[in-house]
Amino acid sequence: MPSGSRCPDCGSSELVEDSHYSQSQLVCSDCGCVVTEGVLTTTFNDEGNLREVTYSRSTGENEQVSRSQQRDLRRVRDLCRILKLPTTFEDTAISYYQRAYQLSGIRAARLQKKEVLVGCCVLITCRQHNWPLTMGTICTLLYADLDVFSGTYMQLVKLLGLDVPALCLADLVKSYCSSFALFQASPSIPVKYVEDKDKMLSRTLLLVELANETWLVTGRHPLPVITAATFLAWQSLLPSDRLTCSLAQFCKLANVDLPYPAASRLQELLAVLLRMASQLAWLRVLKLDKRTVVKHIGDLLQHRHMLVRMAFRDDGTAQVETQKQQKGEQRQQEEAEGSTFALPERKRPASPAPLLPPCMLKPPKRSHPTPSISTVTGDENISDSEIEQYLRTPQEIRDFQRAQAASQAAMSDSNPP
Amino acid sequence: MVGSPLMEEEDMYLDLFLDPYTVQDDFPQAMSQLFSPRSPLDVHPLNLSNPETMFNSHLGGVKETPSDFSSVDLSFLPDELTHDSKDQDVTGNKHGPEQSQLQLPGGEDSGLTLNSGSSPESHAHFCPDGAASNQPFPEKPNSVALSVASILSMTPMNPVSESSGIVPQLQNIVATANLACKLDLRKIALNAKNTEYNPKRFAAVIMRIREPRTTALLFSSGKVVCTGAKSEEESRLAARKYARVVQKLGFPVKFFNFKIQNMVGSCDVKFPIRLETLALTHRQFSSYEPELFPGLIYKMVRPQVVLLIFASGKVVLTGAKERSEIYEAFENMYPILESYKKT
Repeated sequence: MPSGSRCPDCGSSELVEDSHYSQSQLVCSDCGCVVTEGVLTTTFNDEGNLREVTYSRSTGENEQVSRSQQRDLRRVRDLCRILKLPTTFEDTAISYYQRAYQLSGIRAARLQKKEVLVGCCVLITCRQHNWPLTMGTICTLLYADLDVFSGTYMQLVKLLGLDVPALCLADLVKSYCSSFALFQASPSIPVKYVEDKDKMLSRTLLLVELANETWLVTGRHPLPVITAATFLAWQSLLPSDRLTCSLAQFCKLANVDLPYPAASRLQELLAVLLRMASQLAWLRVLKLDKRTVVKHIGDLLQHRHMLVRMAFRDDGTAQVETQKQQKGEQRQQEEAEGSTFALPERKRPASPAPLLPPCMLKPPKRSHPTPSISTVTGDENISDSEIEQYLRTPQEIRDFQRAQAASQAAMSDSNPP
Repeated sequence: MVGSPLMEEEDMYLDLFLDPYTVQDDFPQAMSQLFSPRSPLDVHPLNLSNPETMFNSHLGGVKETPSDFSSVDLSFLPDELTHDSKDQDVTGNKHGPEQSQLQLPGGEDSGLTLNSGSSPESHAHFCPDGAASNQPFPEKPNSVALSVASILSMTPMNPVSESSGIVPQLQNIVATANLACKLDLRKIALNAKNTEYNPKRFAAVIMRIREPRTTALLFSSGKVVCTGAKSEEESRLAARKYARVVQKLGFPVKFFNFKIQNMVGSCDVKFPIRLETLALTHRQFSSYEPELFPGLIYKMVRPQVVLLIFASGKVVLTGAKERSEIYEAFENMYPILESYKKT
């Protein structure tokens, strides 16, 4: 019995908790007055009778907020909880949504746009806290189209004047790699395919850094590059058993979607690694190709800075490196290749390739026709014959009208049945 | 390679080195008059970085270059620095074809092998120019030969491409005009061959003409939107042609308020650009979302032009109402891009 509460009618303090069907009520046992109840009493009275009232119901803040906004604010909270974001993110995202709702352009927008706006607010919050969340993830969670999402996102950033930092690549690598289901033995995964998470993570990070340095990441969607890098890292940690597994199989085993561009990113990354390998004397002897270079990724990554500098030139001058530096290198992870310790031959390493993004390396698809210098003044005379070529003769008009009528008739015939 | 005694060449070269800094101011004017803004200066077979490095390496080894110009003839150097345009054009004419050959070391000839008898001081321009300004003037010999003849008929508004040497090319111009009479769209669509009209989809007739290759939207209020032209004059001519077509169909048209609403230009800086770094340092103007679009969207404030910058070095400029705005925007952008050249 809560102390201090009295029945407002008779002043008795004999209040009994009773339930009428499913509704719990506080009833005075003397006069039968219902003190607190769901809809019949106000929250003010409820509080006076020391009943718990949730904050959002008692402050009346929701009365000023429209129902659709309330629903969307609830959605923002739900989205944050699904993504397991820290609670501070929730409040920031809610505040962004409320700010956006003040703008007339947003308030009058369609429901579809408002739904997408929920995702935009969460994305902006995550970006500002360097939480790696991709737009693809949000779109799949919201069942939204990426085009609609991108339009709303750009509009929101412009209208609110926000400064949204770029996606943090290292964090994205960590969170994306952790989602690969290859770190624990399971019946569907062969024993040799299971890998240690830290080793794979560190190697993937190095490969992604290498890709970034050699122009494979600029301007491209980051996720396929990370997929390709993860695959290569995993393969190179135990090449003898894993070379037979393809990228698609790998993603299926790891229970991760294979993004379409990942295959071409993989080829580009392998090409870069092959170029680097051509600068190491003991690898040059082996005449590596795209499959066998995987075995030596460990070495290549170890000396990646020097190898990239040697293998690529970015100032237009060819570099010829001596072999003396390479002789001093120690190989760490060896594969059973007997000829590797043969003396490096006295031939020049492959001449450096330009360090350019792949779009600049490919030959242009079509040659740009040089436009002739036009001497148009804009005030020339327009000849009648030129204009008449665009007009229909009366006969043509009649034919056209007849054809139109015929097609209309055919359409109306086919439609009703 | 013609061998010559180095000492002689050194002295001559020293004179050449010192003089062009005074003459330099005049020659670029002549040079800029030599090519029209419409000539395809950005589309040329040269890789811009190559000639520059060749020039730089020559600068580093100054003693090597004099061997190239065996017949150094200093009579071309003007006594007075201020000429009237006539004289300058004359000298410009003389040097025109030769200079053009000078400027294509990477493309036509390999290295700096010059034709003998080529003008030395313009060459001397480029050796110190390589240090002073950034790029030599890229040019094709044929376009120079053609435009030399039309120097005097050139309109004065030419891009001064001293800093970048690249001129953006106009790709599209959107203009509007008012025909000042109500149009019957059905009648136009019936009587003209080159039209599309689908009132359920869009309330305008889409008309196309072949020369200049453009498309127009004709509205029933009499307003016309003309798109697809590559220059302002072409756009105006096309709009007039559309007006004539409508006039021939029996409407009392006039041609009022021709106004260019948007101009789009594009060019290539020929070196890759680190978009992430650019987005980081110019945050308030850039928007770079690789998940959505491969290019960086740069909203320049003065002039109000939007640039789409891609990792391959291609730049698209849009949002300008005047040709000069596009040129100015690119000239503002080029030094910024150049600073990101070396990764």
